Amino acid sequence: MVVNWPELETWGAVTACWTTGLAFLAFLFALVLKRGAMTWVGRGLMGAGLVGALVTLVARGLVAQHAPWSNLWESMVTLLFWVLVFYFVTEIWYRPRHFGLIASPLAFLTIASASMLPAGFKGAAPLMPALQSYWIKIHVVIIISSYAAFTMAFAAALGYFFFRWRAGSQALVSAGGPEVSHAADFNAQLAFFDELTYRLILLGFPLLMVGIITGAMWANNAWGTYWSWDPKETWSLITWFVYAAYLHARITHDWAGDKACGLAVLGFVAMLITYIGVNYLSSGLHSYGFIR
Amino acid sequence: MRRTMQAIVHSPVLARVRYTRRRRVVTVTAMMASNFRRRAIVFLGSLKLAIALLLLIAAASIIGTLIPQDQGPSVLETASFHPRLIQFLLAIKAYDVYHAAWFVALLTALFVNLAVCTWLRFPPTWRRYGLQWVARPKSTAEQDLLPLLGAPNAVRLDILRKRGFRVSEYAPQQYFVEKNKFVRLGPTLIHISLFAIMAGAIWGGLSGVNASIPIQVGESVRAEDIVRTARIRGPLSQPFAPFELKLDAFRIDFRPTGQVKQYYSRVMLTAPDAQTQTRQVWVNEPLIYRGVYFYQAFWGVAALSLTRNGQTERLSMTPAKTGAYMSSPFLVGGQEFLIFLRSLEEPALLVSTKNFEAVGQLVPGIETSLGSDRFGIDSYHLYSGFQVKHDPGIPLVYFGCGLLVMGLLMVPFRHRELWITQDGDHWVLMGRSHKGRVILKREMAQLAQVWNDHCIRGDGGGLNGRELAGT
Repeated sequence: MVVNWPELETWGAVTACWTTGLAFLAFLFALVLKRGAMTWVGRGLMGAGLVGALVTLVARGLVAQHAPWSNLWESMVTLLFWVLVFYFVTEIWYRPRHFGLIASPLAFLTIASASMLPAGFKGAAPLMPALQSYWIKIHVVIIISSYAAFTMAFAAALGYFFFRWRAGSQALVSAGGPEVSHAADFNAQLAFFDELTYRLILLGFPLLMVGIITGAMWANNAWGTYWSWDPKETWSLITWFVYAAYLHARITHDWAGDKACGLAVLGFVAMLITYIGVNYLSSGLHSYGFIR
Repeated sequence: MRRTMQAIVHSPVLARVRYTRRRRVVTVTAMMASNFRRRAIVFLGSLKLAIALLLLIAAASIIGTLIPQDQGPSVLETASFHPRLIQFLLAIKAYDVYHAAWFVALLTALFVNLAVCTWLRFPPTWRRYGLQWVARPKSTAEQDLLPLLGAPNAVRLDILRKRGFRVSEYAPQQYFVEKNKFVRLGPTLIHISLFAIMAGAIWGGLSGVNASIPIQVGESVRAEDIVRTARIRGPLSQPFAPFELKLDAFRIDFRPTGQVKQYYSRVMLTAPDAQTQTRQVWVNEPLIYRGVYFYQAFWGVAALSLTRNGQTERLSMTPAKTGAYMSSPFLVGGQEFLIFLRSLEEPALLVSTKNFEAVGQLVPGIETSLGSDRFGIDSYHLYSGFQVKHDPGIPLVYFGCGLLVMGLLMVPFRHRELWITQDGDHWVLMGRSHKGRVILKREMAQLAQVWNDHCIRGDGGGLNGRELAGT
């Protein structure tokens, strides 16, 4: 049987897009209608999205004959893959409540914005000379996995703010009522999501650091300098600085909660600029995913 | 704060401060001075300063990503900003932020902060690492406490041992249980490695050489010329050992689609005290000779051979805007022309210098006639550009990176300290972890459950395999 890889690639991406989108609806139903079973439907759909992303990556790798994370679209599919992997790691390990509700739209946005890219950023193309190195297999995949961990940390921070907001509105509703157990539950959820954010940043931070190191080694091999302050390098350092500040701030106890989660959101914004925003800023050595 | 104070009490510098204070006739000013010194050292190594510097450097770095960094102050002078803003940006050297004195000062401050912090905190960390047990904390405010239904015995303590905990009975009926103590050394390792990386970068800046050298095919360049014309030459840099680098050939491989596949330079390196070596250099594959790296970095058209009535002459080419080239002018039939080359894949244009209008197209190998003259382009002479670099700081930087990765591998692990002790007449499990109280609580609840299950079933029942493995 002859497998039509390009077609499989398209189908994988379309599947990932639909399933993550539908997963969001399932998680939403689970929350609004209080149907626990819908949560499992959502998780199943997220699982299908993971399979879709994996199929897309394998197919693209076979079509293009190089590591399937070499242009913007490919890197976004890789990001989706890692986001879903870390989503399931989080679900299995920490069992957070309503986490899918926050994670699924982030996954959906990743793949939906990837599919809306202009055709020039999507197609399988041969590598330009500077990218023809085994480092691309190492550096890019590590960096993107760190982005995914930070995305999930951002989701956990959103979870924190979500429960905070609910705790606030709940307090208004039940003002004067003896809802002590409810308040205790919300507090437990707040502490949990705060710590989940921290744990996920503890995962992303070493990955980002190793990503920067491998990038420096590649740069030293290809450009003759391990650090040249090009916009992408600088923004990755800025992201690193923000998360380093987060980790240091987290050591002092008064930085848990609002301030810490706020800093995690700031780190995510820096990460987004590193990943996407830099392409709009100015040209540099990392001008592969360029948006003109 | 408590933790900082602990660190200070144990630090060698403050021990010395206290010591000198005791020996001297303590005057009020001396006390104030030493107090100030202590406060200054605490501040320099403080977490607050670290966070402030990290965020400040992050914010400052943004400037350099918004304003082009390699074009000098002219970029700002011609910008359409408010004049005051331009003045300000010029004053802070926004066109070269990363080498501006104030930015380097911020980096230096971070360097000092890192050093002082490590110096203050390492001794207590190391001492703690050496301890086999730690007595249970008196205050239970920061600990989580869970009731245990039965007293410790060999089988029950095995529940903990099987899960990787180390158990020590440090006093009668007092057990200290811990796991992953090594994690405590992680931050120190990371800080020392960052120190090594920064030191390597500084050493490289002081003693490194970085040059951009174009070589035409068939020509060569000598070591001393590379060093002489280097773009960056550190004040402590040493001259290169003598060698001569000759470019034998330069080739660009294209894909069927017309995209560049790879640039290849075949070079020959001769040195008085080494064997002559011929090597192919391409992007991502530098030539390395005695710590000097030669990278394929750029290329261009240096000249072209023009045939005119059977004779060949050489015209030099100068780069025009956006990658195009212009030849030096030449006379044909009393009229002056030049050749304009946009890219090697396109025909060159024959341009009259009178009105700069294109009068014809030229393709290498095909002659055209103008008046009584027959002429054409014979071939283009390319040059290959090398980045030549010698950076003695790199081994230190890479050593730092290796340490860093080792330190980073520890980051996701957690150090847990548990105590099994008596609270009144009940047995309790107490615990603390520097990373994540919620997760620890959950883990402790699981441990307590297995423990209590065992107690309920009685000592004779023992534990089954599934319980040991945990869930």
